[in-house]
Amino acid sequence: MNGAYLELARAHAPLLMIVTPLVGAALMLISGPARMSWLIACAAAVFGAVIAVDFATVLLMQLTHPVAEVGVALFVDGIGVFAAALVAVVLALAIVAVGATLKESGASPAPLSPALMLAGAAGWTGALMTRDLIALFASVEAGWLAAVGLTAVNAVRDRTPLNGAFRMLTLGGAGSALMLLGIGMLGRAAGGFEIDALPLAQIRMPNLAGAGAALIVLGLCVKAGVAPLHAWSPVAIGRGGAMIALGVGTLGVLGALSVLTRFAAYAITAPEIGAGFSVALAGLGALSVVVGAVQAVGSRNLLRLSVYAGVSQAGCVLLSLALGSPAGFAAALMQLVAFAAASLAFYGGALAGRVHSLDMLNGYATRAPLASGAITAGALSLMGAPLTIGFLGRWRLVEAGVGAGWWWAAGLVIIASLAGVFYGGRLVERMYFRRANVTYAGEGGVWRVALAPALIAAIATIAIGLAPGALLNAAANASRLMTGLAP
Amino acid sequence: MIAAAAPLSLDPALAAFACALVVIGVASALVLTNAVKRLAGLVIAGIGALAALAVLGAPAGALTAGVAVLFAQVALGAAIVVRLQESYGSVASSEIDGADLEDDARGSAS
Repeated sequence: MNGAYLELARAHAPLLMIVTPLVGAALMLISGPARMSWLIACAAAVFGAVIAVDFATVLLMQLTHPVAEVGVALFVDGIGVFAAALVAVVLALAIVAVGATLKESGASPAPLSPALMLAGAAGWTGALMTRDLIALFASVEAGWLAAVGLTAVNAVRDRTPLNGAFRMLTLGGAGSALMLLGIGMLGRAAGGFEIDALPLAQIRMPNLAGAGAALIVLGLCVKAGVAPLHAWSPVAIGRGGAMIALGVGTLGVLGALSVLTRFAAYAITAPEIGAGFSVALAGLGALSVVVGAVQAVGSRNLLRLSVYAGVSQAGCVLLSLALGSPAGFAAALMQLVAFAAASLAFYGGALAGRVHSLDMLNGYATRAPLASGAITAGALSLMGAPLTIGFLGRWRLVEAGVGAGWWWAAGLVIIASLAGVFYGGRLVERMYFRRANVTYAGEGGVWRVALAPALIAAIATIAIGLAPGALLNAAANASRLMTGLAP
Repeated sequence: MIAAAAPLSLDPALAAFACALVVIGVASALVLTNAVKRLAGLVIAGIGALAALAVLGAPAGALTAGVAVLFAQVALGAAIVVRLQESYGSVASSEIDGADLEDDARGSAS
């Protein structure tokens, strides 16, 4: 009996992955006390993560096709399933992590903030599971507007996130207008709005199609915080709390990067526009790698440093995609996992001790050894140190780049890693080799449970780096299955 | 024998007009300093994108989705502008950014 229900759930897993967070968000808003609503959010997020990981495992490791032939028809492809599982896991960890900071954000936003995180994750998951470009646009905007709302409602103790929310709205709104225009152009040129039809479409107007695809990517790059379109992210995240850092800096950026990866994987394989599209992605990626690394080196705010390191990592994702090969797509997926793990560990470790500036890191290892360990793992991964998942992602990119003759891309990745050694090393030196000149809060001020997600991410950063076989297989299978598995 | 002239179409002109609206709106949203005017720029860009979709022959569902998203953006934007005025006492981005820099400096000093 239970087995039958499990099979039924598996058959409708794509739909459940979207509906579960939405139901959780709705239940939270009517649940009353903040702690009760947080428990509901945890239950919904963990349930969604279990469904997503199980579905991805069945699809990508066993290569079977468990999607139902009836009901709401969602489009399932390898990259979408891989990224949706990653988004669901990050959502579950982020929701658990923000539990200790619910009261910090005030009484009214307390249940609203995790509800917005759930709704946003549902939006990004929907965008990863849709075939139609119009539905993709609507889902992306749902995820993005939830992130804007999350930033705005958490500007309680500090007003700066409010300015960040407005920047998000204006930049993201401009991006969404360009994206909508691009969808219209691409649909007209390709003769339809189905994303999976792009690689095989007889594109009558390649220039129009190329311009449309470029505008869509531009709109998504704004939301993913790719340089030079990332003016919103340091303002929104740099002085925000745990909700904004984890809900927008980690979950939102990951969602946008995942959708960008999926769309680019289809668009770049369209013969008429692929070459130009690849050049545009490579240019944007190279710029983002360099700008992110330079800004991270100059940053004195810990959260902003992490934002800029993420910008650099997003550039690596774009460079991987620009290769236009299954190896490149697999490298992009590995970069996404590396970004998610490092970002969770970094933000979680910093926010556990309410550390914002680099000066506050002095002697942090003695006050908060677990949180310092999480930050160290995140920093090592960001600098691409061997035996971390960050190294794995960058190594895959270098390998795929050299294979395609893109030596310059490999060189850029190495430069970004050297910059990572500089700013990551600076963090480690402050935490372990300096004495605190002022007394700051340690780990005791928050629930220990809030630190657990950061530690899990930190352990995953190292463990996957040591034994990467399963994840590499899953990423390789996902990139091969990108042509779609829908009934 | 005189060949029949191709029927005149306004589509290219309308498409160019719609694209111009998008460009003007996006530029306004990014360049202007007043938050209300930036929001108005977003509306112009959104209307331009919707007009372009209509000219390019997108289905009705696309227009509906675009209108819904534009409405949500404006509603959220209006709420944020009101909160900006309450928190900063201004809706000019130069003054808001200046206040943030002061907050940053105060935070670093403390």
